[in-house]
Amino acid sequence: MSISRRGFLFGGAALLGGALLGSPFAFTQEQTHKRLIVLMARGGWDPVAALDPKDEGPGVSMPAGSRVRVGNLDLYSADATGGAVTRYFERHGDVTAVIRGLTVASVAHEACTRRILTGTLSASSPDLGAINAATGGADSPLPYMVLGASAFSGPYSAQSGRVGTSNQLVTVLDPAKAFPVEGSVAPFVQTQGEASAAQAFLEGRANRLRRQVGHYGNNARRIDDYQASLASSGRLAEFGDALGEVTASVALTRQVDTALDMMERGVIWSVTLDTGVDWDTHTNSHNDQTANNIVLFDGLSRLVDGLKARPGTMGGRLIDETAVVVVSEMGRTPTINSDQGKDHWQVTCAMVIGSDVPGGQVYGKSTDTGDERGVLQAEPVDFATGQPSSDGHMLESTDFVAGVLAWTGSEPEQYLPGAVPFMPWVS
Amino acid sequence: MRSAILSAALAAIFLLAGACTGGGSGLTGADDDLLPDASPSDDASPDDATPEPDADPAQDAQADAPEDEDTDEPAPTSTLCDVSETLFEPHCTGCHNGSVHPYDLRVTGLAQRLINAESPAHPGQTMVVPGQPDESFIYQKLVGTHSPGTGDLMPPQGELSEEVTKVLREWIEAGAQTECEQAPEGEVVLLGPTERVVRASMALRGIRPSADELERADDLPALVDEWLESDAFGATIRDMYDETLLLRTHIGRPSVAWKRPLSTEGRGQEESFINSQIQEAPLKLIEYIVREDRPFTEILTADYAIGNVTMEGVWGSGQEGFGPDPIGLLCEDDELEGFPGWKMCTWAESNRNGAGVLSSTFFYVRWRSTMASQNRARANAITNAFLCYDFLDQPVPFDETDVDLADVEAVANAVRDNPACSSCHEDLDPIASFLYGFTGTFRPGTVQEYPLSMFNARSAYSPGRRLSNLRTPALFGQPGENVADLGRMITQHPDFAPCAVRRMYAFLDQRSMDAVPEASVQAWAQAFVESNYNTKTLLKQMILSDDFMVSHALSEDGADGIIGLKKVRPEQGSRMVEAMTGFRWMSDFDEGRRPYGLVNLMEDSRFGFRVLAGGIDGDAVVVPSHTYNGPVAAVWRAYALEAANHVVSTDFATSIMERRLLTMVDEQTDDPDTVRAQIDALFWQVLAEQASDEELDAAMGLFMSVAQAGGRDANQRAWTVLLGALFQDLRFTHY
Repeated sequence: MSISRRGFLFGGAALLGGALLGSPFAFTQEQTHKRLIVLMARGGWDPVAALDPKDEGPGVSMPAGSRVRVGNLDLYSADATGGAVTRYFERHGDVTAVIRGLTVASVAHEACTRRILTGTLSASSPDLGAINAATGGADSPLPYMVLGASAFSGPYSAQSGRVGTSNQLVTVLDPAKAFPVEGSVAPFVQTQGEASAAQAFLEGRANRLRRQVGHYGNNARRIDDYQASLASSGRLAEFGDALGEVTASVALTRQVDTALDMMERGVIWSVTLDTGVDWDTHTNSHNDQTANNIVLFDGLSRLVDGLKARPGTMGGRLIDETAVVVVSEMGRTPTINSDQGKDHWQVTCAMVIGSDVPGGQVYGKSTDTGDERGVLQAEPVDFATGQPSSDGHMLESTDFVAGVLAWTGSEPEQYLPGAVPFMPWVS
Repeated sequence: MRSAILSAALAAIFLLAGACTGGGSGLTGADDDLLPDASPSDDASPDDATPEPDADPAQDAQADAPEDEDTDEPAPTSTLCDVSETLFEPHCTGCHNGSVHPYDLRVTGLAQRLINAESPAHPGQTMVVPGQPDESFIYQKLVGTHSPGTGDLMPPQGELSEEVTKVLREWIEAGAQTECEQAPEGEVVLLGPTERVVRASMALRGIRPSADELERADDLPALVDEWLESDAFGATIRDMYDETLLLRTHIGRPSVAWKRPLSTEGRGQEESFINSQIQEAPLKLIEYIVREDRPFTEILTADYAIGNVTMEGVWGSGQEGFGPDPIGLLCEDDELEGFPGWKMCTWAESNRNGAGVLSSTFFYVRWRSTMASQNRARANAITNAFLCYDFLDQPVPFDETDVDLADVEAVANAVRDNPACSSCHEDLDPIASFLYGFTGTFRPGTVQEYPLSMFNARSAYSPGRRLSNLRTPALFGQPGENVADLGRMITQHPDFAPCAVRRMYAFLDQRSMDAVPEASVQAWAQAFVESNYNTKTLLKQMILSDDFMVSHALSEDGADGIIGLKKVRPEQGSRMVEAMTGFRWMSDFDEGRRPYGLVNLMEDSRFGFRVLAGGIDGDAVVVPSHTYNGPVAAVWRAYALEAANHVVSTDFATSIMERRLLTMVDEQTDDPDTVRAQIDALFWQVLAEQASDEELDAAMGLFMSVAQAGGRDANQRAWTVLLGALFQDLRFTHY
């Protein structure tokens, strides 16, 4: 399935609207499109602390712990994690591959976040989740749900939606959960009939405005978005219970449960999650990274448990139709600074998870302790095999993002022209 | 200085660590090249542009389209785009692309770098002198008439043909116009008088015009003048510069999640309240400067601050600090006239005043810095905000640097000596050096008592601290000593006015800054400077311009670059609904949750709906969304119904004369003619729209469907549902 470039750039909302309104342009997802879950470790994780272990030595400082092998994977288990990393890979290593030596070409959070999520330096480019939803799941009530913090919807704002840092979306979907309003006894709750009548009135008004000023360009898009949103907000309300309750902060486990519920029920197509902890450890890095890894891998385990257990919407399990990508916008220096912290580093790592991912594999490589080039530098890699090769190329974030797009059924050339999709995990 | 900026675009940024703003969701504006000329105009379109339903928009628009203007001026034989496509792109940008060679001849921003701009490499040489190709350095360089000592003939691979250089010559001779193409005349339709009043009022105040104001639609300039004196206009200015400075941060790492109240007595000292005061103070300073008709440059040069008792409590009011100076704010006793609750103040510490918002403590709380960053991220935030120059726009060629980032000494040397690093850091780091004295990262969890200080006067300008990033303070080569120097030099930079203009129009027109037409930027920037940076004058020009008053396009091609409908921002929505209905969507988060306090749900991003309604949170979401999605619609529905419920319950409990909207009916009114007349009046009051019979029929249908369902309070429910629908209407949520 493909849509035109103009459709990609501007037509997503129209497609959504068309789908919801019964337009002949409505389309259904095909098996070639996988759903996508992006889990972001915001702030920059330390690759050597779990996924890309190195030997302690000159230029390398490791937290207390040991290198461990789980299947083919060489990992690091910091003592204070209580085995969280090992537990995860023992349980889900069969569907998880590790990417190493991934370069983001910057050490600034903003630039790196844009690169790892969009493959570009532009904040107006859509990210992986937004593209995935626009091309695969535009007919979902909320194609792209942002449960985490960092997200770039680009031209697909109309298909994207946040639930809020306190999950406050539920309070406008379910009157029973509405915040008490100062000076108001109770919220006004429309009956279904009243809501339908009001929506029909608003649709009619929008149609009139479209006839007057909305035939072309931005006006047309905004009216499209408005009409589609009237319908999708109503459909969202039907699934408000899946969002849970208002909470002071939305922990990863809560995000995972919400994402799984919403996916299983077909409310959303793609979703971005956040570990909810701060990985930007310029001080006390070993302790904080270790604590964060417990949150990450326990939460990730809960997510993959759910994907393997829950039914998909196309016959199998959710894991069969869903790709998971776990990223952090940058890495951290191999050595400890004077505050026991680690600073920003341009080489990071990632995980890809899916039923079609050869488990326990490592793709890409970074230099090891003692290497004359320095440790944790990206090494060239053969893009076909994912294995290090002196004849290969550096693995850059653009190529990684392009690979994920191709893996999940989008056309990377449409968004990242010139990128070489890196997807050796796809046979 | 321009050359310094250009050279800064070159390459490496190693150490912009520490400014930990994440990404954001954003909507990019469309292309800008086809907008009509940006010349300010006070003329209103003669007719309302809204045709009747089902009318042919192309036909209807003919009467409203701008009239052709006769001109004796010959059309330019070349445009800047012609020059770019014929000359620069094929022959120059292979090297002159900001990377290989710092002087960038790519088309984006090209006019700024060429027209009346000094050669970065050869001071005294003007790149393009409009109307005078033979005096234009870039033309001389291409035809070999440049002076000895000003470099080689370009391009180095050989002299260009006359056919190619003629394009440049003709463009310069024709006055070096900045636009690439003119919008096809008749392709766009301007708003009618009533719609203009609505758009101008919403843009400047976030409040829809009153019935009286709508009656004065033929005197929009006078209305604008009145609105520019209003409190709501001040709030708009604060909203505008919050989208630049990202100060209202209710969540995330840069937030000030205050752990301790200022006092334990009573309400009003909770986190949300304290945030609303200290985060708002720098924005309040900008508002003060604009509303008092002070030169806009004072936002970076003011030797005063705007503060209040809360700020004195948090930052101090002259107590002993780390250094020799007292800390905090020293405020006058009396409140500022027109600014209730706020006072004129100065910062107590020496070496700190005189830089406007750059003197403000909260700026440095929001834009934090780590030891490794050494204020570089803050420096970039400043150049980005006030000169529209973002050092982070360039990728860093780590593979060309051969520098071990884990080696502190190697990095320190590289940013000075390694060409791939220093080409950028030689500009960035000296700006950061101005900022020493402001401590790095404020950690709310460590707050034990007030006052707090983010400024250390003792270390502020000690040579050792200041030079720890190995460069003395300077702005693109111009040396200075303190933040006051930095502020002053930024305002003197040629990019200051264009940047301010670009930001303001992008905010008003809801387009990306890149999509603001260059010609408009240049014209408005010149007028801004000539008015001694009077912001009201500038905004009035923008608001009344034809660009801003475009209704819609008549073809797909004509729609390129046209914004038209603008979505109400959540902050505007809050003011708009309160002004119309008296309803404030407030909720108290002290009971059963956490001591956060009373918040306006449309303006708060922690528990409220600011982000869900398309706004920013200043942390993860830094670009507003100007269109609808499911959550936006859900928020507006809930908000609209709460406001409608408020109107119905309060109006029907009030005498007719004191009501806001339901002035023709009571709870028992069931006479169809009276109901219809009330609905007709609501269309005008709420939507500024003269409803057609078709519209009234539809609204009557909605009302009657609820009223005739019967039940207790059926009429009240019907009015609530109808008003709720009007408050969700496209004409209400957009302008």
